[in-house]
Amino acid sequence: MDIRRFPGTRFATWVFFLYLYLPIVILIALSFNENRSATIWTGFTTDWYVQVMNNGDILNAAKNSLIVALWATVIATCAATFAALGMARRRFKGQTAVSGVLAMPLVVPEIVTAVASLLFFILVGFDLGLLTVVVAHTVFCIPFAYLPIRARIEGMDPRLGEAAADLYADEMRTFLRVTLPLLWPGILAGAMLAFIISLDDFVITYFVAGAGATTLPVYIFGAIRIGISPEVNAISSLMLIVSLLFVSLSTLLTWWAGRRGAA
Amino acid sequence: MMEASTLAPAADAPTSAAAPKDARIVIENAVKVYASAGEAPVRALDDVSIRIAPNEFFTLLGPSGCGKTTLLRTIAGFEQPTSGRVVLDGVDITGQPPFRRPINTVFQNYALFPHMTVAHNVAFGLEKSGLGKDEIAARVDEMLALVHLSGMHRRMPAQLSGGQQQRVALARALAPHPKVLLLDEPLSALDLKLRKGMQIELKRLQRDTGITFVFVTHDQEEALTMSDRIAVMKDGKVLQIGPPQEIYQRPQVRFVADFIGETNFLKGRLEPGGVARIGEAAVPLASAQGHAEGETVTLAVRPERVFLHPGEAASPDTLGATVENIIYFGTDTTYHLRVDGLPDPLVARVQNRDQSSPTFGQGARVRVGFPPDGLSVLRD
Amino acid sequence: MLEAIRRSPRLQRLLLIGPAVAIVVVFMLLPLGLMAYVSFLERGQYGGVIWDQYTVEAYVGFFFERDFLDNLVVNTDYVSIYLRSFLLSLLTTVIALAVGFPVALYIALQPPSRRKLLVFLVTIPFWTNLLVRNYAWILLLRTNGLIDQWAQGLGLTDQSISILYTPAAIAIGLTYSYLPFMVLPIYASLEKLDFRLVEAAYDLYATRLQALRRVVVPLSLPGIAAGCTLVFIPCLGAYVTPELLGGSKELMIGNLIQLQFGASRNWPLGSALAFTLLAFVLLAMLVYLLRFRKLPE
Repeated sequence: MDIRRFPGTRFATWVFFLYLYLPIVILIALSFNENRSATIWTGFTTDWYVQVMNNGDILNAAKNSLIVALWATVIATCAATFAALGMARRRFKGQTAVSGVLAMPLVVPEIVTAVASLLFFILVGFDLGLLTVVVAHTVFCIPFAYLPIRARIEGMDPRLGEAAADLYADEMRTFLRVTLPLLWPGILAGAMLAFIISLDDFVITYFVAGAGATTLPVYIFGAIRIGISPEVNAISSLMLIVSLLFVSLSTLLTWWAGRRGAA
Repeated sequence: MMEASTLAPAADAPTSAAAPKDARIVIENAVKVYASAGEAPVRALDDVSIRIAPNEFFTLLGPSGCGKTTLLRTIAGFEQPTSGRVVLDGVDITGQPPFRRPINTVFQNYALFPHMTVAHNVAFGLEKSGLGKDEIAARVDEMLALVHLSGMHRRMPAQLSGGQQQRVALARALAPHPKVLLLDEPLSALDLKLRKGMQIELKRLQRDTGITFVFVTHDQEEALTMSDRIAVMKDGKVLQIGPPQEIYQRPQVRFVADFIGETNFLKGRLEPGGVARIGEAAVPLASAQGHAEGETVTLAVRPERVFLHPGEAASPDTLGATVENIIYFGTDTTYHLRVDGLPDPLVARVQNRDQSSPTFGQGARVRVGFPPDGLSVLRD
Repeated sequence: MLEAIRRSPRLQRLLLIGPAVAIVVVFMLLPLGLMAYVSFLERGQYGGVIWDQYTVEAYVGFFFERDFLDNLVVNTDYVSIYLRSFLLSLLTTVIALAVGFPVALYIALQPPSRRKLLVFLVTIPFWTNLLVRNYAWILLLRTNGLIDQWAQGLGLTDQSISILYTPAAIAIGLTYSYLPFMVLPIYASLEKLDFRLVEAAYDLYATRLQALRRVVVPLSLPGIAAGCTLVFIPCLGAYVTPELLGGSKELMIGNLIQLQFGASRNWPLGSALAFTLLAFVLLAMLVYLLRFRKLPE
């Protein structure tokens, strides 16, 4: 008997991956289905993608999504990088509390964050629109950007940081020449994750977006509520593919950086 | 799982000359091949045959990667041999999973269950023995007393020192009264002093319990001091099996002579009358079995078996030599010699018994002699 | 000024950590506090709130409603939605554990390079759009959907089966959404498990199942607990899955909250519901942290 093997686990894993990926594969396959009824296969077509590309509402929503994701990513990644650098220095009182605060967006249920943000924006007197969406996205992007950067710093030789702290006069240059280049893969991975999380977010956006700031997921949600259609299949598939590309890139980057050694 | 079958009378293994008739465990022609994609298959066990007697303290000795641990794991049931059999008390157990074998293991890192107390660890193997609760508790007490850990029942493994963990591992493996106890380099993680103490302790336990011990180590000294018999392994093969004295005094192959203790290797030619011609000298041999006259062979001699006499060569069975280097060790002195007519330097060790022991200065001329039973003719 | 920054590590730290913390505090903690505050306010006639009218009406509204004579009458609607959410979340967690544990075990016992790939495959769906992934299940589950078509094609049933808009559909969708959260932490603790302990169990006469029960499961308990927490919490606050797969009848807490800010225009009640949900989530986190973060490795 092979004692490293537990009978049934291999089967469970197969079923698991089938369950995980079959719906995604089917969705993408159906987006090329010529038939309008969406689930009865009659032939291959890329018409729905052409229609998506010519749909002004979708293009506008995509533009909004990109604007929001870009701003949220840039702001969140900068803040997260600084925070990770600050946290990496010697331990201080309240460090756990700061970690807790930074992790909060991961813990609080989205629907609660959404409601709280909505109330806040209304009661403070912000007009709901792209700006409120960017602000809300920046908040939940911070932990996603923060964690990979923090992990990268943890993996770095602490003596390098000490050396940097030691060299008072050259601190800025040491940062630019030593810390930042070493940190770069972590920052990039964090930024990519933040970008994707922002691009994919629905619940919070749905609450704080107001009329003019429809993003792609909000648009898709509205379309699904009207009914399933081949266009929804197509735009959904596009979103899936973009996410898959980004995650794969981000992961490869981390592996590649890991192989080069965290120095 | 394979059906257990009784053992047919087995042919004597070629390497085990002094194999016991009455065997507790028999490994027959065991082969283990590890095949991995893109690489040449590795033969971790290459036709290994060993018979181990009841009550024996048997040691598998060899450098890392020699297959000794694979052999141990094959006996335990963690590995399946590619071919060959493992027989316990006449019953083929090759296909049996480890939990069906009345064989227990002391793991190299002890593998104590970190979430269980010492007592629960020791009791773990007793749960299927059919013993009642009180009997199990009694056995646990007995085992902990045996390894001098009475009263440690409620400790967690993490609260114990390395030596104590080692003892718990021993108690745990001995508790079910296995027919064979396997020990996988159990002392390697201990510091030197603790190790010495545990060596004596293990020997005592083996005598007291009467259980067959199969001990794996790469430490030749450990093997020599503890074992009834030793199997020296290299590259998945068993090179020589025998009692420690025999392994040490009469190595059969160069690797065994080299791996265990310090050895001089000499080239010699076998001549009529049981004599080896080494340089100018004709040295009588105790045995040159299996070798033909006229053959050129490698001979091994331990430094402490080399005789040194003052003065120039005077008899035909001695060689002239010059002292090149002297290293004083207190109990003995080691001489590095340049021997006339030999290409390699020779090492001799002389015990400093009293003032009368011969001492030689650097550059002194001496005569070198070998006792007939101190020279082993090696197979290649 | 610059010199002062250069001289003081504490000031540097403040400047580095400050922005991120400020963003989260101002735009998350503060709004949460505000939400808690709103839950104690009187609702306005046409939505919104009346600022200086404090009341616990929203919390009373959990269990009671006022009839036309202003008497409190027990109203089980909200309680039953909370109960449904808990039961569905629990069911999802149990299913996810039953599926996730063997998968994590299988992955943990693979050679390292293979492990890395499998873990990657487990994480991918997490990064894809939740909405889209749930939408895919509509295609599968609806009447005349793919599962229906297959079932009829295989002759399993001769009338169309409709799973969509049932609690079962929600459970399927929730499990689908959060299953990776179960696999990953269990895998992480199984990967650290010294397999020689399992060998030791075998050596001491434990069968596979016993070794699993006595050694593998206890030692991966922190991972199991983390996985259950990570699945249970988002399930409890799920909005998208019940909205898409549950239809209008099978509400969960998330949908109920949304309704208060949409059609019902009852901000205090919505805030109270959200605040209660948050309390449950924090409680679950607390239980997890207290119980499992201090165990020995």
